[in-house]
Amino acid sequence: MDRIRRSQIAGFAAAFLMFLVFAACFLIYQLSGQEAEIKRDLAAVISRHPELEEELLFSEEGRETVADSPELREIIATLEDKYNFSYRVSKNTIRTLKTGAVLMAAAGSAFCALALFLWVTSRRRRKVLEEELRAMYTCLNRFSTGIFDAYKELPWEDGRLRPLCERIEELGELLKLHDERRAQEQENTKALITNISHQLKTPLASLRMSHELRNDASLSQEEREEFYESEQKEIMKLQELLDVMVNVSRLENHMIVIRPVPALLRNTVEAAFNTVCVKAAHKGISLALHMEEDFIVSQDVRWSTEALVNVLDNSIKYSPSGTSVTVRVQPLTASVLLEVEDEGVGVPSAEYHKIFQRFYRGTRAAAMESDGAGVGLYLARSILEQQGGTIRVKAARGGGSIFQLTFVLAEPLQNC
Amino acid sequence: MKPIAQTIDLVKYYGKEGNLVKAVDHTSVTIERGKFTAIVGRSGSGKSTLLHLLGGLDRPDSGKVFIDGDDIYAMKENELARFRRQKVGFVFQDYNLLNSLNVWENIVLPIGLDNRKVEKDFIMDIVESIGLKEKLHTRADKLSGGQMQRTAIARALAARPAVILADEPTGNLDSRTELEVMALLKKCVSHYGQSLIMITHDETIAQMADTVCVIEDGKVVAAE
Amino acid sequence: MKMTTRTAAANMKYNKNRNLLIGLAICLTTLLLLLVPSVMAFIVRAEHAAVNKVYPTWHGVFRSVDIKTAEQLKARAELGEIGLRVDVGRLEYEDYELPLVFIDEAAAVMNKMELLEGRVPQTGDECALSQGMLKLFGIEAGVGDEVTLPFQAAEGNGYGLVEKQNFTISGILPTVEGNESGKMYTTLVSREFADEIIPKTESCWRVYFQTAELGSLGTTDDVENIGYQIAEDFGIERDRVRFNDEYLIANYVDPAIVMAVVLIMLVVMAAGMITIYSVYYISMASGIREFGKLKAMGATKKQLRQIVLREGMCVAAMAVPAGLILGSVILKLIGDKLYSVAAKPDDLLVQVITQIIVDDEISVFEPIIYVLAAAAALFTVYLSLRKPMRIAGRITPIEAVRYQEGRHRREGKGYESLNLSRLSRRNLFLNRRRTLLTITSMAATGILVMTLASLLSCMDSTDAADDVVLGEYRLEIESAEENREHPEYSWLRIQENNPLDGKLLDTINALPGVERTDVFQSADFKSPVFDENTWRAGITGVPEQYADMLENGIIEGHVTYEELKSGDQVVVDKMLRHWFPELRVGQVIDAEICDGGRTRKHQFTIAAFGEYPYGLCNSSYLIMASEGVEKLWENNQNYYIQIQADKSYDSTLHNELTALIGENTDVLSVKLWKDEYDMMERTYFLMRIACYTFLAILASISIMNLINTMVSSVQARRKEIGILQALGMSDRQSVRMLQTEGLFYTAGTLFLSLSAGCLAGYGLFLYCRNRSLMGITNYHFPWEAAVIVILVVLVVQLILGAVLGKSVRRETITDRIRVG
Repeated sequence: MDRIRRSQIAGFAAAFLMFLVFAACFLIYQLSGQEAEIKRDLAAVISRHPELEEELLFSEEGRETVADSPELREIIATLEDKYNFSYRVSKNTIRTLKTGAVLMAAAGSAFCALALFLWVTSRRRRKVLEEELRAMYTCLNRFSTGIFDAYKELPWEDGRLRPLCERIEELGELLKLHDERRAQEQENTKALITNISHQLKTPLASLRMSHELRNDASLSQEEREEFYESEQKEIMKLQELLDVMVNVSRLENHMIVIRPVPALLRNTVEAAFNTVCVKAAHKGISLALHMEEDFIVSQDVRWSTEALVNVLDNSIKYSPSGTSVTVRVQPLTASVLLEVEDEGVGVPSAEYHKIFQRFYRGTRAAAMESDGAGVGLYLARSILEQQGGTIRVKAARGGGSIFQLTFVLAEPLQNC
Repeated sequence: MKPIAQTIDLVKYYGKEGNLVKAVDHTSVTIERGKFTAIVGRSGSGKSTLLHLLGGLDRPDSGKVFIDGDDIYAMKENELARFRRQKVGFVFQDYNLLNSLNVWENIVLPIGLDNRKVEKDFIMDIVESIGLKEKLHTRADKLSGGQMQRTAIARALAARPAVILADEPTGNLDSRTELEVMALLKKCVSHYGQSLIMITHDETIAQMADTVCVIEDGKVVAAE
Repeated sequence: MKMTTRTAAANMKYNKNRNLLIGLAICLTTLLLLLVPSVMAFIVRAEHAAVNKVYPTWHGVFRSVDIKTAEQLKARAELGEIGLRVDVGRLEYEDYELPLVFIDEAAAVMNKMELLEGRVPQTGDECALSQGMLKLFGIEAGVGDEVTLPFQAAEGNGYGLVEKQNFTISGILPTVEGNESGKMYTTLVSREFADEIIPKTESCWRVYFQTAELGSLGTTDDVENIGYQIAEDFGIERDRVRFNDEYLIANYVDPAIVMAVVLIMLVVMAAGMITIYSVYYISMASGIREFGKLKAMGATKKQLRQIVLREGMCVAAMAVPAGLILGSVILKLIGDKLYSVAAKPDDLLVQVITQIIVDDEISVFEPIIYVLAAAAALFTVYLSLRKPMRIAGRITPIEAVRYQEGRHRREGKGYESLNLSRLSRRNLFLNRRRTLLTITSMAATGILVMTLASLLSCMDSTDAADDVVLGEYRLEIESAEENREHPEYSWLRIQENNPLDGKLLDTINALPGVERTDVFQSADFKSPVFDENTWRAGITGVPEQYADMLENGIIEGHVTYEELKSGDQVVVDKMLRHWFPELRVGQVIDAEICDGGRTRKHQFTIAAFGEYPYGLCNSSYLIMASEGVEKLWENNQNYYIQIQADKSYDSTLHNELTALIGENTDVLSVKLWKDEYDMMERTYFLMRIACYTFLAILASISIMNLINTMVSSVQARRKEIGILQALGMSDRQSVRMLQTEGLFYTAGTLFLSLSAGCLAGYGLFLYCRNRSLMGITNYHFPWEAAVIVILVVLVVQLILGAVLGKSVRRETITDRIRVG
């Protein structure tokens, strides 16, 4: 019912009640008049027949209710016939009607008073509501100017508006968070640029040196070939580094968007295997896969392949030849567990935390001439977490490491 | 970034003269917002006490605790109670579920205490992710340890508090469930901007945190 | 010390609070078990003692027996004591009654004749008399003196000529007030003298007897049977056998009273048992874990049971004596007040009783009752412990480790969103048995309270007085049918010159304050339907003003007041059906009407049965209109004048009415509505106090039940409540939660108590009204009691909730969660 209709109905109700009140008053007035008339009639009769005073008064007072008997009725009928006489409204009826009328008037007045009261309070309430809405409006305005704490002044006490206030507060928090994250990212980007330029310096320097030395006539043919080979290696390394850098920077700047969709996991695993099998064979490391069934998980296939490749790469890099790297896939309740176990140098427990950080190489790893940039695992973690999964490392029995990756099931199994 | 939690010169001792246990000894620690912070240390190093103090469950002997800018021990009882059900989600080591209620009811209990409406979709999301959908109407005392732990975690998440305080929440879970639960917690933290402070003595869990805080004999020794 | 005892003792200290509650319950139960029988026994014994003091102690008397038969009667075994008495003659003085009597020692004792001085007359002309009588003759004499008195010897049914006889005074009898006002003095003479005067064959001896071996538990009927039997055996006619009715009735213990006392004790025991049982049952929950550990350590079933029993009995061992001592203190305090509160101070019997109490002749403390009370209390405790003992015996160690409250099969769906009241409800639902147990046991007391309260509130003095005296005053004829001394007191004679005539009526009507007078008639007749030896058949004549009451009270049959004027139809009050259940509507009654010297035959038809206040018919249960009576009887049958006055009591009016009676005090008397009212007030007052005290104590026992339930409920859920507080439940919320639980118990209890209790109360009211017990006529709903019950329960529950809610705060949350 909209407001206009409602106020119309209210108006009608009020008018009707007023009418009732007036009607009641009118009725009372009339009845009082009749009462007075009856009294006058009685007095007239008595003045003419004083000896009947007691009898007349008694019947008036109703001391003894006159029983309805056939004789009386006959007399009444005769009277009515004889004189065309109709006894007017009896005293009792008058009294009843009067009481009824008074009650009506009282009820009517009460209703009017109530209606007035309700109207006044609703007016007041509306005003309060307007103020509260204004407060929220101001708060939202402040959000747009960057002040996110304003929700403290919202009208929390009003139960009806409370969910609204809660949402506004959450909005404020979220905005604040994004704001802070943005600031953080700017810092990250600055650090990244510094890092990249630093990392690029080394291979570039050696390349430049090689280039300069090439023109030196005093070099022998073998020496020249040596330089040529090392240049090639540096260029390849540079290329790799750049590739990774580009990926990292793109990822960090959200130029790469990871869009997880339900997709079969086996494809990802097989793609990853294909990418690293050459390197593995080259180093004499055998790859194994234990995967009994396939699962549909939430992943961006291109990027989760990349993540898995990075992990496999890492394991291969730090395992001695002749060992094996095993991949095992098992279902969990709402996710799938993929473990990569190697028999390599392992990770000391104090560094579990650090290996996933950007540009970290590890102490033991440094002992083995490594040429990783230290970002592979960082990238992998970032990708997996954005897909709703995670990655961690444990020590394997026998010295190596187990990397545990999780993928969220697109249709989770509920069998616990 | 304003920290989500901060303690200033916090002190809590147990016992009497000669038998004094310095659970928290003049500790000042700052915890960043929106991150997963792990508090590690050997048993008896005061980790649980610190967590209880952060959650407003116990009163410190001296010092202050600020959560989201509010000095919680300057609050009156009723305000503190409100703080507990709105700002903080606690996951206890022994779950502390109400045995008379079923899983669903346990999860929505803090919301009910706060007279808030239950957002069914959001909670069903958590329930499905954590794998409790089939067990929603089972009474708490008929669950296995793992299921109880997950219910407790779901309860902490359901109220969407600003801070989730977890005391060895995966201690009684097998390693696979543990991994899953950690994944879920991390997802919530990043997705909803919540902060997670977790006590653990397990390095394999601590590695998943953004920041690690080491406690020894009641004092914070290192943080990274 | 044995392990069981030691564990029991340790448990006792550990469960201090629970044991305190139980101890309190046991104490109160013992208290009631002691008080109720003590008070009843005391009252009964006081009455007996008083009666024995005042009344003569013979059970019955055979009159007009000859001396030989009298001697033979002595041989009968059924008759314990026999005493002989004979009227030897009389002394002549104006219109005084001055009999000369020989009475043997046994009869003297039974008739309570004691000498002030001297001894009984033994030889010749010895006599014993009272100073008062000597005064009549203007003689002053003492023991040993000779006096000459005008003597008439007994001859046949009359007396001989007056002769001067010399007597030697051997003893002095006491002079009592009744002598001069009744104009009668008795003189004792010796056996010799009697034998001289009375011929051996004359049958004028009286043999007083007491039946042997019946003690105080015999009934009046038993005595009468024996008496009549012996009379038959000896050829003594039935109408020569009389019994000392008042004495017998007063000495006879109504088995109904004994049963009532036993019933009350059983109720108290039940209440105590339920409370103790539920307290134990509920606190078993926390104890089960402990017992399981004991079991795991190798305790046997029997040992566990023993522990429970010993702990309970230890508590009882302290609580029962406490109860007895408390009860004794109360008895001492109220002992002497018992009677003075209840009755009219000018009643002779009450005076004597009060004297007895003051003189401490009977003790309120009766050792047997103490033993009985203690035994009953201990028995109650034992019974209450049986189930918990059984439970303790059946515990397995596993249960202890995994014990959860409220194991049950059904799970229920649960709620979608929670709030405090749902939490409370869930908790109550889970512990259904405990909830129901508490509510039921409390409701049991509540129902009892409401039932008794209903009954008490129906005891309205106004109603009761209205039932007996229809107006404010009643002027009535006092006729006595069998007064040989005053045959002019019989109704037939009074009628001839009925003082309640029109003139008297006019005078009364003229008195100020009198609004109206209604005259009732009472006419006698003989009929084969009503055996005249046992029932005096009478017809009540009802005046016009009561026509409506008469017609409206009809419950069976139909008749109008007009029809009742004919004299052929009667309405019968249904009370008559108690004694003559075969009466029917339409039955024709043949009657012989004695009217003046004439007798006539007439027939009435029973036109209807009705239900009327007692004061309408006053035992003449056949009713006609006044006109009808006037038609049938010539003599003025006016018997009662009911006077309606403007004030319920006006001493001026009372005095004027008394003055009107004038000299006719023998046949007329004024009965006051106010007296009836006052008497009922006093009776009811005492009953009310007793009942309310009793109920109050019962109710306290019951409230203890509630306290225990809630306390143990909170205890068992300490950990849960801690968790809730850790999750952010504020103090106010925890108080509210507990109060909601309490409210539930309250609501359940109140609903059951009020509904079932009032229904039972109404039933009890109907029962009492139909049997005209305790003057109950109208139903009054016990408003005050209901309101008080509701208020008390609500207040207790609110306070309890608040206290418990606050107490929960005292421990820190972490302690509770950790310990758990």
